[in-house]
Amino acid sequence: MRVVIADDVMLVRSGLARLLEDAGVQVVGEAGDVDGLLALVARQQPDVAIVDIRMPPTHSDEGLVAARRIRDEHRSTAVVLLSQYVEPRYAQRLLADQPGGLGYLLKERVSNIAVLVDALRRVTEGECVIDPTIVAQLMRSRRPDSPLERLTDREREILALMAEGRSNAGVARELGISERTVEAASAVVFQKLDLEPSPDVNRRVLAVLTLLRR
Amino acid sequence: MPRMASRLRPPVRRSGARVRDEVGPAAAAVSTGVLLVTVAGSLPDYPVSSFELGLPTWLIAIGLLAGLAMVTTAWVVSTLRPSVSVGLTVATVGLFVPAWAGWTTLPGVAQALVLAVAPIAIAGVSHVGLRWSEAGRSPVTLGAIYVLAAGAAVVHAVGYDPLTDPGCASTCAAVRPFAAALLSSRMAYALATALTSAAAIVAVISLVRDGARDRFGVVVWAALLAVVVLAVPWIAHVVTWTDVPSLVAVVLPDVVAGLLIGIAPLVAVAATRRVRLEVRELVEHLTSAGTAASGGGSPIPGVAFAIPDEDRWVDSSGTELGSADVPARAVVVSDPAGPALRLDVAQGADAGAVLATLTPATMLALQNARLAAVSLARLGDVRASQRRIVDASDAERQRIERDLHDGAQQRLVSASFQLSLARNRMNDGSEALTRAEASLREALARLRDLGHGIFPATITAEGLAAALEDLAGMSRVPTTLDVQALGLDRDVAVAAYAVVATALASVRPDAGPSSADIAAAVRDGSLELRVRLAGTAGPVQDDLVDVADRVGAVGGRLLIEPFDDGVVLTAEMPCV
Repeated sequence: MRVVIADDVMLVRSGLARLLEDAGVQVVGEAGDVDGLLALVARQQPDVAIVDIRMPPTHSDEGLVAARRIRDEHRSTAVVLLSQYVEPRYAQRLLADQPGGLGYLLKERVSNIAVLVDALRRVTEGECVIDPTIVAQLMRSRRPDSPLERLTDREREILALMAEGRSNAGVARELGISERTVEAASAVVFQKLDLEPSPDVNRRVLAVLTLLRR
Repeated sequence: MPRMASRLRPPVRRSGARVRDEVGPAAAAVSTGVLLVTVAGSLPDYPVSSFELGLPTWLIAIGLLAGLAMVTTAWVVSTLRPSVSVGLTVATVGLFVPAWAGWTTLPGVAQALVLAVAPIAIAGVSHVGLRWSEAGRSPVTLGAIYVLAAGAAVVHAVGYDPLTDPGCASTCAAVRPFAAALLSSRMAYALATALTSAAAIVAVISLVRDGARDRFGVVVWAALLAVVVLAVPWIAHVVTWTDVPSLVAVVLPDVVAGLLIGIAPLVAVAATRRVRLEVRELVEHLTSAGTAASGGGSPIPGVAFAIPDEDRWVDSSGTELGSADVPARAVVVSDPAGPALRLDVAQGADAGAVLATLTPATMLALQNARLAAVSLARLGDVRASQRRIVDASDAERQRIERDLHDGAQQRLVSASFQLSLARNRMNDGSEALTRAEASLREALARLRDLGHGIFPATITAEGLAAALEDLAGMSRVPTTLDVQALGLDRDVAVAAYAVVATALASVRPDAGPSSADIAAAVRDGSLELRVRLAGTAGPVQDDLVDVADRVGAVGGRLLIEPFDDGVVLTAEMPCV
């Protein structure tokens, strides 16, 4: 897997690069700002771009804007955004239209390299990955008329784990139930959220979209 | 520079007012008496009296009208301007008493005396014109006019024998002056004319000076005209001694002068009354509604109030007026500490009339309005300063947050990467390493809580509702949200956010069952925010003060009230 990293802090950038290379991920370039990142992506056509949300000049949502452009201009490149803070709004803005191939993780989460590598793999497969902290927040602040209200607590747990990018096997492991039970429960979730039968990945993304729209 | 009338105290009744109160009516009574006596005395001979014989009826009617106008005016102004009543009475005497000379019942000496009263009319007319203003002029000028006019009367009385005056009508026959031996009639008449003219000149100069100040308008100009009208026939007769003027030509100037001085004050009083009504309306408007500027066409389109000890003017709502708001014409009213009020005077309106309407009651109301305006202005200053303090503390907070983000946080993140790398390289699951990673994560979480700007960009980017949704999402207790507020000012939105954030932070789920209900809506131009917290005593005092400062800085207020087993925080903030 070929990735590029964009973060304005060199220390974080190189630390992350070494961590990824150590885990067998090929880092094909690093950038310190949005322009550098876009040029790098155009040149290298990586599988994934790992992008810090806050970058120069305003340190607000430059990474978010860059992520949109990358997804629009280079369909084959997935994007994982890293954020220092829990900002569900950013996640919603990024993912609300087309969450496939996008991830949103808290920066501190990626020090557990296995989580990051897993997320990279999932976004390249067209799924979306949302940090558990943010998923939990979105779940808590759902509106009273949200379709999520139709789900049982257990079904919401399964949906939350899907949003975090877990596979059925991962969900089963987390909840201590069988994979078949998870598959059956997900089918109920899709049905309750009015999602027509289609390839599994696609339906998982749509389910997460429901969550993001609360 | 705007043209401003000199600084004047509001007219205040002097302590001698009690005596003066009786002077006016007394004078008016005298003038009434003079008119009645004139009419009554002339009736027995009418219409065959030798004096009236040459007069057309219309002239007699107009003369009567002039007399009525003077007497009426003397009564109308008798309490407010007693001195003007006195002047009118003197004028009545000077204009009507000479007519008694036609009475055949009077002895010759008395006829000569009443005829000699005529020059006094100039003094009376000047008196009215010069004393119309309550501000008053130096009495010396008026005194001089009286002395000159009286001198003319004396000279006339002692030296003038109409019999030897070729211009005199045949009726003058019986008049016998005292000092006919000393002075020829023409000499006496010329001397009297000289004195009368001198009185008229002094009067004209003073009246022109008053009139030029544009302060007392119509009355001054009427008096001026009357003085001239009265003086001209004297001079004309001296010059054309032998011509026999028609009786109409002799009487007409007196009638015209009487009409002028009788009617002009009535016109002025009516105009003043109109201005006074408008001033009262303006004052009521100012003191009730709290907004300046009355309807178009008002002589006072607006009022400005001075902030004591500062070079600032504000309107009645306390809003500062810029230099563009300085009117072309204005009257500034000062108190001992300096300028207090500025009354804008419309183009064409009489500044003197405006000033004359400032009764003590009006002034009190205006001072009251000024106090309110000054308080509002000062409150505005305090709010602005409060806002600056809040802004400064926000800026400092953001700076610290950025420092944390760029410095400590990034280093810690990088350290966590390195630690993770070390663990992978060493392929070692040692407990020490795990503990180090855990404490590093804890440090990062703490730092994140500390540094995360308490006012996220979401407020500006997506509005208060979105930001409050995020807050509700992070809440540790069940939280409901009902927000109907769009397009708020950033300061107001931030203050509302701070209220909710502080309220939610005070709820401790471990202390028992608790919940939070948040409602926000805009009503009547004001954002109403209610946060109902169950199972908690609410935020601690220090946090509340901080939030109340923010709410106060945008002109709102924060209330906290107990409610069942919890509290309700209510914030109201103007947001238009």
